[in-house]
Amino acid sequence: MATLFFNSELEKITECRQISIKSNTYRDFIEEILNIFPDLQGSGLMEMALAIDGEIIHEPLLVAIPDNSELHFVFKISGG
Amino acid sequence: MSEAKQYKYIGQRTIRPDGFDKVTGRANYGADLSLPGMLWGKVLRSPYAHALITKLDTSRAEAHPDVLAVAGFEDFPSVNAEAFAAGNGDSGMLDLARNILADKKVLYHGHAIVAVAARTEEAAAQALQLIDVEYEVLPPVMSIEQAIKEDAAVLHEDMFTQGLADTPSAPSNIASRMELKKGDVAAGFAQADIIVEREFSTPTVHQGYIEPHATTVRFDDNGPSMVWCPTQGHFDVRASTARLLNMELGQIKVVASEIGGGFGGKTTVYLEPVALVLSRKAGRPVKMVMSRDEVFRASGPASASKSRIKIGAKSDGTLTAVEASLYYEAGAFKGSPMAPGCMTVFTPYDVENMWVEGFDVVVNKAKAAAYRAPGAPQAEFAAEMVMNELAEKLAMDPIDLRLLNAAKAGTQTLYGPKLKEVGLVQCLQAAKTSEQYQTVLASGEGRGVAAGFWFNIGGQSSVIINMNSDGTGTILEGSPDIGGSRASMQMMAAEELGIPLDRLNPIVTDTEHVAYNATTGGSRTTFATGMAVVEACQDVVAQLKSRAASMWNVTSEQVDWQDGSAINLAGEDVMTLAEICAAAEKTGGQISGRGNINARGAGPSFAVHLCDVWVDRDTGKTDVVRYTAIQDAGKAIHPGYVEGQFQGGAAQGIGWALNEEYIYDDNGIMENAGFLDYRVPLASDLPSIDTIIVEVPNAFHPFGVRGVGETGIIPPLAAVGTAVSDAIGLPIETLPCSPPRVLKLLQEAAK
Amino acid sequence: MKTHVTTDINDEAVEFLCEPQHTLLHVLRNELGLTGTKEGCGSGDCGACSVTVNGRLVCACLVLAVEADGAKIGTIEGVANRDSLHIIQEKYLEHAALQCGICTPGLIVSTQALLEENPNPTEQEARYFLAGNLCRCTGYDKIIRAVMDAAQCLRQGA
Ligand code: FES
Ligand code: FES
Repeated sequence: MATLFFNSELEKITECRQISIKSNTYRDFIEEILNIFPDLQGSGLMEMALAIDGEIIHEPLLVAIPDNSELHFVFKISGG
Repeated sequence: MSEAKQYKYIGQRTIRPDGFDKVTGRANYGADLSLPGMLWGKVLRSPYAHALITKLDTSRAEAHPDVLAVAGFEDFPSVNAEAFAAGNGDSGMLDLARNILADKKVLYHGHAIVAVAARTEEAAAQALQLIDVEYEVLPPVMSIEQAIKEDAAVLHEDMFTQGLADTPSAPSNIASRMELKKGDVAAGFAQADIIVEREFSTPTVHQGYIEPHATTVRFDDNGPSMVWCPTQGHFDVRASTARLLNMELGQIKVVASEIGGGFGGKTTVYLEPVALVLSRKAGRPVKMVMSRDEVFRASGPASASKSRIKIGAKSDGTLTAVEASLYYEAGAFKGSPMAPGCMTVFTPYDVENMWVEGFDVVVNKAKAAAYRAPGAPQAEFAAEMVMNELAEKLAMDPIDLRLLNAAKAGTQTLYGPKLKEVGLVQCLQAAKTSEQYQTVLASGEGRGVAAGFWFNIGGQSSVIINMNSDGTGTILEGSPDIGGSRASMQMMAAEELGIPLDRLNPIVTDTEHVAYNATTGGSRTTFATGMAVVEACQDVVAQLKSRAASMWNVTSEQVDWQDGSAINLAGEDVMTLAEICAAAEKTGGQISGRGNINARGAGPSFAVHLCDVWVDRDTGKTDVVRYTAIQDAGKAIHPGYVEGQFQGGAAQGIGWALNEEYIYDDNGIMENAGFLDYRVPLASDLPSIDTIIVEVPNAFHPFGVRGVGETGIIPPLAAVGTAVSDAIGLPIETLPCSPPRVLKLLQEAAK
Repeated sequence: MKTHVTTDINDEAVEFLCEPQHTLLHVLRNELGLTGTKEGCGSGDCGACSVTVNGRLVCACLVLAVEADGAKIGTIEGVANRDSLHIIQEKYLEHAALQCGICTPGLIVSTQALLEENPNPTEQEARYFLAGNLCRCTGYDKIIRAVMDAAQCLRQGA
């Protein structure tokens, strides 16, 4: 079980701050949360980076979701 | 990662491999390439800040005997407004197209309208005079205040504010709003013994790279077309150009020339797609070079900002709540760095209750481009000014106040995740014991301290290392070298392979010789491309070991690699890299190593700057008398170029704080579009800039590297602003602290 | 009407034809292929185009090409002696005094002019002499260190 935290922009859609996640791959995890919050579809979620325990991953498609990890969607940063 | 690791090259001040060419004038920059039969392209630009184009007739220019081609917005075939309106496109591409050649409406003074290519520069300039354009002039919207007024002229009829609770019914100049929150700020402020709240503004500034944008292109029907240009990312130039011209990536080869500074401003395209259209139409190579005036008017300024900051603290200095409203000017098209501004503004501090809102606002100025840690300097300037005011009101040392609240490993950021190991506390401690902080101020002097935070990024990098039969090797990389990165690639590879530096030649290749590399930006190059170099070296070493194994008739597992040699664990034999390469012909051909990665785990870099100034009360002129930049590099591969990044960032931040600003007249026309009137710091304006490199390793990088390029521009704004405020005894809310503005503050206070 | 100009560039006799409105910078870069001299502004404000005319430091963007007639021009291409760098060039490299390097040719030509005029400058004199050469990358700190170090080496005849 990992815990996903929503930032306040996503919270407007999910109306909750955090949920427990059963999946252990990114792909299952996206399916899992879209099942719970269908309105997240189209929220740009898939364009966001995923932070797993503080490590920001811009292209998380193939990552595993470790047990007991903390997950955050983060806006992608580019820089100058 | 073992702290005690002794390196042979990492951490040394080596001579950069591209140095000889750069000190002798042999290195070729953007404007240095000419091709046989080449034409010169020039751009007709808008004389108004905001207008509809009611008539555009290029026939007289086309009839000019020396003119061979004319290009306009309709030459971007894949980008047409209807497709985008129907939702089948990427609105970013449409904006990009409209920015580089206007579509029926001009949105800033200097906005490109059409381009011509002619046999000589003079003929091209004459042809521009022959283009007939009529305009319906609209009121210019030149500031955030003007833009957000209910009755403001609207730049884009199809822009409706995103991110509001209710979908708006009328178009607006506010492209979007975002909000981040954590905890309960109302409760936090209720617990505070003291609250400081203040509003700030920062001006439009330019990255100010000394080399203007330039390109030379050759369209080719039968093979890849060639684009030569100075850019931070030639793979992204290729991608944008291909999208705009409906070409395949493989039909365009972009060669990155040497680049004369970018700082974020050379991460987009202005001339390249236009030049390629002209070249295609004319059937000849085309060269285009912006004048300095065009660079100021029509390329990447950094966003002006307005902000409001509120910070509450206990009487012992513990922060209880922080709050910010941040407005950024995007220029003519949406997309200011408002989001990174919101995400960075309070990140140096561990506070339970935080609330930030940001607005992306369009105005009739050139489309803002990235500038070193985009969005962060404006936001953190405001927050750090309030932190210093708070320290003063609490009679606390400003470094102690920051140490008490400093973010560290485990701090929950406002933008989401908890921080990993970071070096803010170490930077603050180093600042406190620094020579400058121990120096007692002379009369009339003032001091400012400020911290800065930037994320840094990783991303895609591809590297190939080709070994030669004499044991020399070529490192092919795709990250343009703006500040000495070839040196760090060479050092990391030499370290990893265990061979001398001069055996390895790092080359920044064009888009055909390595796979995609993300743009040099986000302080990513030494981190991410460095990781790709290490991976390519490991690939080389694995092959060297297996070749040695086959020579010794043992398995690869029985071969160890140490200091540039293979060691037979089953016997006594040792073979050097050069010996294995010499025998490679017999063991399967020469060796290439490859590292293609999408690097993750970039380590944030914190900085703390100290600034002492003296203000001339008669003229309002500020002299920076002492300056120290302290920053966490993770690990400094080449300390000289790391210090250079700190110093360069500090100098740009000092310019932003003291002098630099776009000045517009009532019609929205920039009045200071040249280096004489837009004054960047000169050698005589600055003191020596002391540096302290803090090294808290980034566990995700093989050598512990964090990016260092961007953070250094963040702290100077508030360090200088606070120092000036301290010297004159008056609050500073508006940058720059230029002599007239400071003089006015002094005179008003005297009344 | 083009004008015929006979001049000396880096101790070599050179002839060229130019339009009356063309600058020396234009001719160096576009006609003679001497692209080591850079253009940052075209208005005398950045120093990237620094060259010497009869030993005097000037902005090549402010000199008309016809003025080169009969003069001795020095550009960055003439500073090193083939593959052996001038001590000023060596010191710029040693001190990491360049990042992007676009300002470097102009700064090296200016540094040479400074040290010919004043072999023992104070740091402040160096900063003021070089105030016409903009560098956006370095904050000047390492440039000034390189200049002071080069001055000392030159004085010691190194
Ligand atoms: S190009 Fe001559 S001074 Fe800038
Ligand atoms: S090194 Fe880039 S302008 Fe000086």
